Amino acid sequence: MSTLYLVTVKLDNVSVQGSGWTKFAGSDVYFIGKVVDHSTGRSKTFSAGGSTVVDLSATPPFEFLVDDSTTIPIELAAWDDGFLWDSQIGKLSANAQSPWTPGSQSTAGPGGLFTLNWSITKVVAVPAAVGTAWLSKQFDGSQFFNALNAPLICWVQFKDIDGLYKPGVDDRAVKPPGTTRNSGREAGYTSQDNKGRIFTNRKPDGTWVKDTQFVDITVEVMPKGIVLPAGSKIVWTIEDPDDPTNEDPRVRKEVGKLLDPNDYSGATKTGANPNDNDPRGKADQTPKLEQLDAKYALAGNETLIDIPNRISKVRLNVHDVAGANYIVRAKVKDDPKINLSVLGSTGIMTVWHRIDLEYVKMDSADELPVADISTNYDIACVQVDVSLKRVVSGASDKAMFDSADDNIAHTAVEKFANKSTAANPGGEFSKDGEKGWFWICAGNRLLSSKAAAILFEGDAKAFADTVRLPAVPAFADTPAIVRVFNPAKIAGKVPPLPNDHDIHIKFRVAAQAGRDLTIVPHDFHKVDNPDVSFLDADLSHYGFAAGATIRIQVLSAGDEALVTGGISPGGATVGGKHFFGGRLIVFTKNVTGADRLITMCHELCHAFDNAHKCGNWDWINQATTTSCCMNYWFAFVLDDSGVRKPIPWTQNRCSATMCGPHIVNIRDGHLEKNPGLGWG
Amino acid sequence: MTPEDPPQPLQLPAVSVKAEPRYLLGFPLLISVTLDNPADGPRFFELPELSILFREGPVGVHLQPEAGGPGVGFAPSTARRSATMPLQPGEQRQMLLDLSNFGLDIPPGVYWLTLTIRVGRYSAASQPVRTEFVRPSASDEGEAVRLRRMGASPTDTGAWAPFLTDNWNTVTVSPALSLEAHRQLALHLFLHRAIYGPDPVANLDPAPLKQLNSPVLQSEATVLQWEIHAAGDPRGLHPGIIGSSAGMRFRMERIEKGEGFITKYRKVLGAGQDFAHPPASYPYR
Repeated sequence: MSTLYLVTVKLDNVSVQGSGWTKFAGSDVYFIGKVVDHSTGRSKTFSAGGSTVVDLSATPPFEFLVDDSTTIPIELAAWDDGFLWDSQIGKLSANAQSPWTPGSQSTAGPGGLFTLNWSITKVVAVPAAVGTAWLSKQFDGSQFFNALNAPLICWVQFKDIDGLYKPGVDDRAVKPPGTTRNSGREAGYTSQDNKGRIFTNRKPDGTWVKDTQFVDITVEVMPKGIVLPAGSKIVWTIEDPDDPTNEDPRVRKEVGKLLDPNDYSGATKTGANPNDNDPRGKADQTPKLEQLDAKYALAGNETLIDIPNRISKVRLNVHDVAGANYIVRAKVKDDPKINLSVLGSTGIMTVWHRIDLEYVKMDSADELPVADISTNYDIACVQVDVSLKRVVSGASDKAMFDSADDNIAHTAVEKFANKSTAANPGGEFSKDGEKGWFWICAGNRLLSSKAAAILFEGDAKAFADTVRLPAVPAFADTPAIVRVFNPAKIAGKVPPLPNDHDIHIKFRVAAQAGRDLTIVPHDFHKVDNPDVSFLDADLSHYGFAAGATIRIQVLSAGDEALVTGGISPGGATVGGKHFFGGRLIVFTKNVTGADRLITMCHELCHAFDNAHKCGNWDWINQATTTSCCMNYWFAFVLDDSGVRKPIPWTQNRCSATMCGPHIVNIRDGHLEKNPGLGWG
Repeated sequence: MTPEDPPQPLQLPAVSVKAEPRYLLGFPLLISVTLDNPADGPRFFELPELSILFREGPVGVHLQPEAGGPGVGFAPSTARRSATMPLQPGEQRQMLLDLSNFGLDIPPGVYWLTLTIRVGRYSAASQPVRTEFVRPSASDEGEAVRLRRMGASPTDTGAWAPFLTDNWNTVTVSPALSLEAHRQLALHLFLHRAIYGPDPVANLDPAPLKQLNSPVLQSEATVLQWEIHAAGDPRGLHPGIIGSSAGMRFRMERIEKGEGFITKYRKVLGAGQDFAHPPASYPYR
């Protein structure tokens, strides 16, 4: 065995220098450092160059057990904190390596714009075991002798964490086509990549059990062959590191503040601060250690070591909200007989929700991109696994659920989205009633295809929730919707204007009295209130003054006017509030392209007890902003002012991702409490 | 009116409610709701269509205890859409609504019941009607729970819709069930047998419907009897029958088109389905 070193690396500060920096003056800039896989999070921002020093001293030191051949990679990236999106300005790299001696070092960045000052603050050498030692002799016949008291040096190695899942590992023995598993168990995995997942309401083997989320941790005291004093114990420390999600430059500032409020003071980012688990106080379960076996008896935060095997174990129960994260450290308890006890550590382990999805595809329906759902839920710490795929045919392969009757069609979908049993022949949710399972179906259509007709096209007057036509109409059919066009986008265009979502919004028609059509305003909801809207936006909210001329089309019911893209059947109603049932059917003949994924992500979000129509942008900083999947395409996005107002012509921006409020509501969600699922 | 005159606020149809004087909690809580659009009213295109299966949508319920204290209920939902229906000027529609489907926790007592519908930004509420909710005997309560749970539902919220929509079981009622509870359950028992039983609509025995003579249920019972009659008579319904009840005219017209309640739900929920997996046995002989 070669000599080992316990090395501590610390990032001290960044010195910003050079006249070249002036090109960034006026923009806020921040740094993100990385030592191996450990991120420092975002530094405080600054806006001036010159002699600015950005202090990183609040960043915790990083400890590594290394040998002479090891290198410790260090990175520092500068980010421009843009108004809409952030961009990387430059990056430097360095290596800490042998010889391991304490001291400060500096590494210059590209173009001499910034210099990272870092240091090795502490080195503890753990010498190799020596087979032979020479002792001086007294004299022949002497009663005295010299003895060599070998130093007792030990360290803790995390051997296994049962219940910790590694992303990208599919450990299923059989992987049926069309199914996915986004993480799996790997022997010896201790989340050194900081990506390990612990699932809510699951035993380590993945079985769904209400209010059960823990990992069983096994550590081994090294080196092998060491004889520890009788009664030696492991001392466990549970750390709550910073939630790193908002350190990602892609995360919008407003979303970052929601995700990790203790990193901010008002609007200012103050650091990547630890001790931020359960930031909204929504957890029902809190972390605690639990004894696994009498031979690893637990007292306080200490467990006995099984001396012959040098093993100790403990169970760590964690929060039942997603996003909570932990680093577990362990060391042999200090003892006069032990000369040096070196700490071992896991990487960051994070609590996630996980759901199994049964994907049912009607034989004649188009395939749904079900495997792409999970990526969009990563930020909410939800793993969506397509665990079963079935293709159904015969009577279950329905061209539609009714020819024309919406009510009957919905009832038929409810029936279809249940388990097929003697009590319910005709259902296609084979896992119905098994906890942890959701259902997605690729269907064809809800109702027969019907073309909408343009009943009127031309100028009308806007009066809030009323559209006044130039004359009392003699409609050839029942009016269903009114399209209102963006005047800036239709100049020079001749009727009939096309069904282009970029150039119009639309409203349902509730009633007609003479020339006046009463339209249904667009309702906007806080994520936790699906029934009562905080804004009902009509034409006046959308910027059309009373009496203003608007270009409209009035359409009859039909596919281009109103079409059902997806339905969430099932669930339960309690106190007049509906709770979603984790079931979803997407009508692939009505929804095409990217809208299929958006529809799936939208409906799945409902299953976590979320209201739709939030009016929010999604979480991503990018050049072309996109809105939360919970919006309807034909409504404007709202601004963030105290009394929120629509931002003109921001319709048709929906993405498959979510906004900050939906993300935190999902993280804080308790599927076991949803009466629509019945998993409690 | 000049082109510049602002529009008048939308006048919603008048909402009126009939309730039984007393209900046993845990059983179906059927009320009758009528929407009445005056002759000079607007054309409505998407009013909520209520039914014995309705569970969510732009309908609110408020129960104010006569003895005072906080009320029970909920506001109309703007986000959840339900089945909709049109309503022409001068038209009236009468519909049943089962309050049990809303999963309300109603403490026993005397209440004033108000029902509100919402369309866009407009609401219309009924006049309050007085009714009493009482706790059933332990025996009746147990039987209510047993029967309710025959319907598949993730959670037993007290709703009776699943008894009709997801219940391929043979329903045999305990002979110990009280007369009052039986009366409250009678329409559901009839409909379950009509939807899941072996007899086509024309062969259904209308006798149980003739027993339903409360002001809340009478019109519905009459319409269902006419549906049975029409299914067995190739001449259909006499025009005089169709127009005999203003509030039920729309139901009679549906029967004429072969879209009566029993006929439709028998086809979509019960024995008239095009089965993907035919049942091993049928619940009734």
